[in-house]
This record gives sequence, C-alpha cells and structure tokens, in this order.
Amino acid sequence: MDNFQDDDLVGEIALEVLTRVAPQEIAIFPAASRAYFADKDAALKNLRQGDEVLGFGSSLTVFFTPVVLYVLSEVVDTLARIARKAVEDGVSKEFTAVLQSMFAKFRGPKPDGLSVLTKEQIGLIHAKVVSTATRLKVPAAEAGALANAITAQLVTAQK
Amino acid sequence: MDANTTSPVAGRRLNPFPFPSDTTLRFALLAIFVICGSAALHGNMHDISEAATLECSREIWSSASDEGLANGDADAVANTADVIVKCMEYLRPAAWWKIAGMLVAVAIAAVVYHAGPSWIARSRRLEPITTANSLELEAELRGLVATAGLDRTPEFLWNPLAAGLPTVFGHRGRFRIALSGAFVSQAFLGDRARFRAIMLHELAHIRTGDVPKTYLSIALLVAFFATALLPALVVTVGRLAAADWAGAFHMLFQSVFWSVIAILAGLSVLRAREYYADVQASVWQRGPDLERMLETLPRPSGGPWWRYLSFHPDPAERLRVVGDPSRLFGLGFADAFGIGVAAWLIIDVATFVISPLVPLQGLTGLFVFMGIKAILTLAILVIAIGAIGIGVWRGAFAQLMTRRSPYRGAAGLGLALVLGALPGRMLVVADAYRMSGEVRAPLYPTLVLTAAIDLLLLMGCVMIFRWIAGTASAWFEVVVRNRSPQPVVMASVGAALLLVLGTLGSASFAVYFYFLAMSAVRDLAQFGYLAAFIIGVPVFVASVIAWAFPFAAKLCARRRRSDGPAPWIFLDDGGSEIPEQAALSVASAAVTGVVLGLLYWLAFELVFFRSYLPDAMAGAIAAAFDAYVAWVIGLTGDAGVLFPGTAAVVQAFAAVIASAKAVRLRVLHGLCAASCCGLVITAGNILFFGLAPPIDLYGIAVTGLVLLGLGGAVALGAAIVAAEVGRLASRVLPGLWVPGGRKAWLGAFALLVAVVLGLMVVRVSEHLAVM
Repeated sequence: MDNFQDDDLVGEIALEVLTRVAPQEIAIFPAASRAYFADKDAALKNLRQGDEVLGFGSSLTVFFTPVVLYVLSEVVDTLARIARKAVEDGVSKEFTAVLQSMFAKFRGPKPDGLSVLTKEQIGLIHAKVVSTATRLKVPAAEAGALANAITAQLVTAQK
Repeated sequence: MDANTTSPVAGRRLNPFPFPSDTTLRFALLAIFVICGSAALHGNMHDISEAATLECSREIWSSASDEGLANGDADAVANTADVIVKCMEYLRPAAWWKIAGMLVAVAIAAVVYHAGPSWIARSRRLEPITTANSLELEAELRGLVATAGLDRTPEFLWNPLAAGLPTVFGHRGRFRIALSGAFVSQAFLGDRARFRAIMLHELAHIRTGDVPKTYLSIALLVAFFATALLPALVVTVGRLAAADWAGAFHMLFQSVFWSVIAILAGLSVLRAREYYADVQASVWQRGPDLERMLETLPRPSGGPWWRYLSFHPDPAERLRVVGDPSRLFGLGFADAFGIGVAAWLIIDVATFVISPLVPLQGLTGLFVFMGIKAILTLAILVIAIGAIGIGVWRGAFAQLMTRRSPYRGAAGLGLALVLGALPGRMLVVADAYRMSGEVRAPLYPTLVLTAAIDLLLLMGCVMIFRWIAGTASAWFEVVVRNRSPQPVVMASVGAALLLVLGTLGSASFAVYFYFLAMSAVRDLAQFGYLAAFIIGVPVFVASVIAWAFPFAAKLCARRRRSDGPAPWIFLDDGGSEIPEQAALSVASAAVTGVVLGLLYWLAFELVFFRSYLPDAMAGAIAAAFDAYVAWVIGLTGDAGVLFPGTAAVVQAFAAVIASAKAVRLRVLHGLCAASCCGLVITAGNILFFGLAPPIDLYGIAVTGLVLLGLGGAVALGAAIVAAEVGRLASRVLPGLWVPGGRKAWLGAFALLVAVVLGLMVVRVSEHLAVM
C-alpha cells in the first residue's frame, strides 16, 4: 500500500509542534516546509550532511524543522492506516473526518467526531517518534521532547 | 606555527597581514605535491619491468657505487656516462607518462575548480533567502559587509532545510556565502552576537583572499585521487593478478606515500586559513563574541598527531592566536620540513622528466645530465630557501617586536629543510632496491656521499637563515617606518638567494672542475690554489653583500628617524613604542679591518726596509722573518702560501676583533672588518708589488682574487666562532665586550696610516725610479 500523504496536514501539525519545541524556527518554517515537500529525499539527505569541513568549526544545536516534518509524515501515515481501518470497520464513514479527529487542533469545542486512537496506539506512536528522531541523530532528550510534543497533538478515544 | 612566541610589545597585537601568509605557502606546497605525485604515479604505471630496463637500472646503481667515480677516475666517469645515456633511452616512455600525468591532473583540477561553485549551489540546493524576517536579515548582512569593507558584496544564499554553518565559496569577483535554515533560526533569530561573529569570520575568508586557494586545494586533491591514485590502485591490482609482487608493492608504496603527503598538505591549508580569518574577524568586531564562539568549539579528542589530520585547528590555539597574532609570524618546523620534502621531490621528479627527453651522447651526455640536475637543484633549492627565508624574516620581526633574539628558531628551520630530503631518499632507495634485483648494488658509498652533501647544505642553510634573521634585525628600524614591510623582506630574501646562488653555483662549478681537471691536477695543494682562485670572486662578493646589505639599513634609518611607526605594524589602534635596537658599529668594524690591513703591511714594510733601520733592529727583523718563512714552509710545504696565508690570518684576526667588539650582528661586523682588511691588503699588494715593471695585470688580478677569496672564506669561519664565543662570554661575563676608547682607536689608526702610507710612497717612488 502506498504511503498516505497530506502535506497540508503535516505542515499544519508541524507548525504546532515547532511552536512547542523550537519556536525560533517558525520564521523560517514556510520556506523550509516548501523545500521539504518539494523533494523529501533530498531534505532527508540535508539532515545528515553538515558543513564541518569548511565552516567555522562548531556545530549547531538540533534543527527541528526537517526532523519534525519527516517524523510527522511517518506519524500521519500511521494514523491514516488506523483511520482507514476505522472506516473499513464502519466506525465512521468519512476517512478525512476520522483522521482529523485524532488531532486536537481540528477539534473545536464541540467535536463532530470521536477520535479512534487508543492510549496504547499513542504510546506506540511516541516510541516510534523517539526511534525515528534518534535515527536522525537527534539527542535522546530532544527526541523525547519531540515525541511528547507530537503526541500532545493527538487525542485519545473518549469513553 | 611557532609555539614559543609571547605576547607582543605593550599588549598590542601584531598585524600578520602585510606579510605573505602560511595559507599561500601551504597551498603552493600542496600544488607541488599533487603535480609531482601525479607524475611519479604515472611514471610507475608505465611498465618498466622489461629486462633491458631493469638491467640498465642495475648498472646505474653499480656504477654510482663505484669508488673510481668518486675519485674522478676517467674510465669510471666514461663508464657511468655510457650507462646513463643508455638508460635515458629506456626511461623516455616513462618520462612521457609522467608529463601526461601532470597535465591531466592540472587539467582536471582546473575543471573541478571552475565547475565547483555551480556544483555546490546545485548539490546543496541553495536559493535566495526568503524568511519572515528577510528584510531584517538583509539589512544585517549589508551592515556586516560594510564592516568588512569588501569591494563587492557577496551573494547570500541558503538552504532552509540545511543544518550546517555558513560557508563561503565562489571565484574572485563572485563570492557566495551559503547559509542554512538552522543557522538563520538559531543564530540570526536566536543569538545575534553569534550570528555576527560567525558571519564576520566567513567574510574574513574573502578579505584574506583564501577562498580561491581553499577550493583550488580541494580541486587539486580531487584531481590527484581521480587521475593518479585511482588508476595507480587499478594497476596495483593488475600487477597482483599477474603475480608481479615487487611491482605491486612498489606501486602501492608510492600510492600511499603520495596520498599521505597530499592529504596532510591539503589539511594544513584548511587549518592555516582559519587562523587568519579569526584574526581578521577579531579586528572588525572587538569584544568577547568571537572568543566566546571559539571557547565553545569542541576540543580535539586525539593525541598530538591528530592535529595534523584535522580540518580545523585546535580551538585553544585559535584563541591564543586571536589574542596574540605574533604566533602566526614564525614559520613552524613542520612547514619548513614540508618545503624541504617538496623541494627534494621536485628535484627528483623533474630531473627524471626532463633528462630522458634531452638527446645525450657519451661524456657530453653525462655532463648535460649533471648540468640539468645541477640547474634544477639550484633553482628549486633557491625557491625553497626563499620560501623559508620569508618565514624566517617574518619570525625575526615578531621576535624583535617582543624583545627577543631574532635568531631564535632559524637554525631549526635549516635542519627541517635538510631533513625534508629524507622522504625523497626513501623513494630513491626503494627504487634502487627494486631495480638492483639480484645484484643488490652496494649503496653505502652513494649514501655516504649524499650524507656529506646534506651536512654541508645544513651548515649553509643554518648560516643563510641566521643571516636573514640578522638582516631583519639590521633593517628593523627602517621597516617599522616604511609603508609596507614587503620591499625590505623581498630585498633581504633576494640578497640571501644571491648568496645561495653564488655559493651553490661555485660549489657546482668546483665539482665540475674536479671531474674535468682532477685527472690532470693530482696535487691537492695545486687544486686548492686553483679552487681558491676560481671561487675567489664569488666568496669576496658574497662576503661584501653579506655585511653591506644589512649595514645599508643604517643609512636609510638615519633618514627616516623622524618618521613615526608605520600604521600597519599593529592590528589595533592606540599608541605603542617600538623596541629600540642597539646601535650598529659599522665604522668601528671598518676601522678595525683597515688597521689590521695596515699592520699587515707595516710588518712586511719593516722586512723590506729593514736596511734603513739600525743594524741590530734590522738583524732581529730578518731573523724573525726567516724563522716565520721557515715555519710556514714547514707547515704547508709551500713558500707560495706565505703572503696569501698570512693575509687570510690577518683578515681572520680583523673579523675576530670586530665580532668581539660588536654588541649585535657580530658575524656581520666581523665580515665587514675582514673585507676592509682584505681590500687594504690587496691595494697594498698592487702598490707594493704590482707596479713593479713589467706590470702584469693578470698576475695582479690573480693575486688579488686569491687574497680576497681565501681571506673571505677564512674570515667567515673566524667571525662565526668569535661571535659565538662573544655571545657565550657576554652571557657568562656580562659587560666583557664593551666597545670603548674611540679616541684612542682613532689616534692609533691615524699614526698607523701615516707610517704605512709613508713607506708605500717610498716603495712606489722606487718603482718610478726604475721605470
């Protein structure tokens, strides 16, 4: 099955996450997200290469924008699979509504749909975010903070 | 870089930028290594395993080890000539391979360099900067460019997804600076002081002119790996497959050797540029920001050797250099060693590229080969010594500004240059071992001869580098008032090279003379006399240049005394005094020489005119003279040594006295005294003997050259010894060598002049009476 892609959704959630973990990156986010969605593979390559040879000699702290965009793309893909299954199981009729209902950002004071996410699924997503971020050479503390910020955007099913 | 310098005088930082930088020097070394390495590897790619070639090489090594050759035996020389001529024919294809290798490497490097900026911009996905704060960022960058005072504003690009620090790239006239989204967000938006410090550092790379050198270095390395190393490794595998173990090992050894040298040189370029950029940036932005940035840099984790393998210098050293840029002035041992390595490798590669292409025949062929090798060696050594000489001058200037001895480290650089011959020797020995096959020609005599030459070269280098340091000291007062130090630096190094050329040229001529004339001139004394005659002019000219050039500064300094210190000396504003140098006593040295010259003639005039003296006195003089002549003949076996030998000893005495009296530049004072003494003796010789009819102009010239040449050579050694003894004595017993009694000296001098010239007049009038 092809990976689910919703650049607008990823971009909107990424901006919310960045507000929490790296607010100073918000100013460059429009240009960065445009570049990211234009060529995701190249963006990933950029993450792994620095300018250690000819630069000043030091390194910068974690640059969250491309990491957040990349990790969120994977998270949204996972969530899309859960939403698709929910539609197939007849929990809801509209896929987009189910997907959006998982994010706090899209839930108004009176949500028109209930999230289908369980605490266990959010826990799995948390672990996956930490794992992916660590793979992208994000230090453990920052990876944990990122995972917390992303899962804070998610809404569990209300009983 | 010299690790032993201390903070500059009065706490103000010395300005390293008016002097040629280490970045330029190291870049030149890299270019040499890459070109020579490409030539060497391509030369080895040509299959030289043919039986005839191997046999030829064996013969070369056998004849080179022949003791007859070392003794100038005519048969041995002719045999070696035949072997070399024969081998050159076999080596001709390899020479073409070497030339092709060099040209391909240079061509690829040029292509990589010119295509580099476009490739960087494309591969790193750089685009014009657009952020929510674009206008603010643009204004900030404009302000920084104005601070840097660049002629042209570089183009600022970015990759909003990149995470690295800024880097500058491009060609002269169109430099570009690549920023990253991470840097803009974290530095420009998060830590403006950090942003300015790092951006000024990048702009400093443009200002110091190291960007083209950096990317040319990278292009050269890429070209070397692509066009030389890669094919060499393929050839190695091919030879392994063909079970040619020796050939494969040789190729692998050469590949590793040249790769290591090229990589070390390339990394040294990258490290050197950072120091200069840091210092330049610190001039534009005074304050703790740059220091704070440097303090946060990661410390190197490896051992002391690791610093030669890192892209960036040790942050602690960067900090020290920013605080005290005089650390950039002294040339490091490793740099001088690198220059030595480069010089010897070029000599080796160039000789075996050019020689096979020159048509050779018989003994003439041998001399053409030796001539090419001598000229190449001379030219390349002169360039190498010039490069180190600039470093010596720079270092001496910093030492003088910090009130230290200008000679510090100069001898070590001479040692480094000569030690640089070792890697080249390793390659030669490896070649010889491989080529000699089962014969295993004895290399010992060749190695002993080489070691002897190296020892002589070491002594020469130490002397010449100390001379350059002394010249820097002599010209110090002039330089600190000049608009730029470069004219004096270049003139000093030029004069030094003239001395080197004269010395090496004379030495080469003497070797040729030895080979050509030794079979006819078997008497060592006769050979020595001839040699003294041949090298008389260069030795005398060299000894005059050696003291006249530094002492000429005294005339210029007198004219410039009212001028204040030049603004280029210090990086920072504010008043500061220039250290005073002790006065030169040139006149005293000259008077010493003249007085000793006159004393020489007084002694001979007493012998000559003894008949006018009371009998008892005349008898005593005659007895003393006879005893002296007998002693000289007993010592040397040749009465002909009497006059030139005595003259040389007197000149040496003059040198010793002047050296001992001088407060600084003792050797130069000694040489000055010896030259003046030699001139008086030679002039006296012309008046006393030369004008005796029939006048023999050729004889006058020969005698004059022998007197001046021999005297100059003996005086140099005497002056050096006296200077060293004086230096030690002034340390052990301070105040021992205090020059004084000027009036007494002048009085004695006037009396001596009157007596000697009076007797000269008598002698000349006798000649005139006979005519």
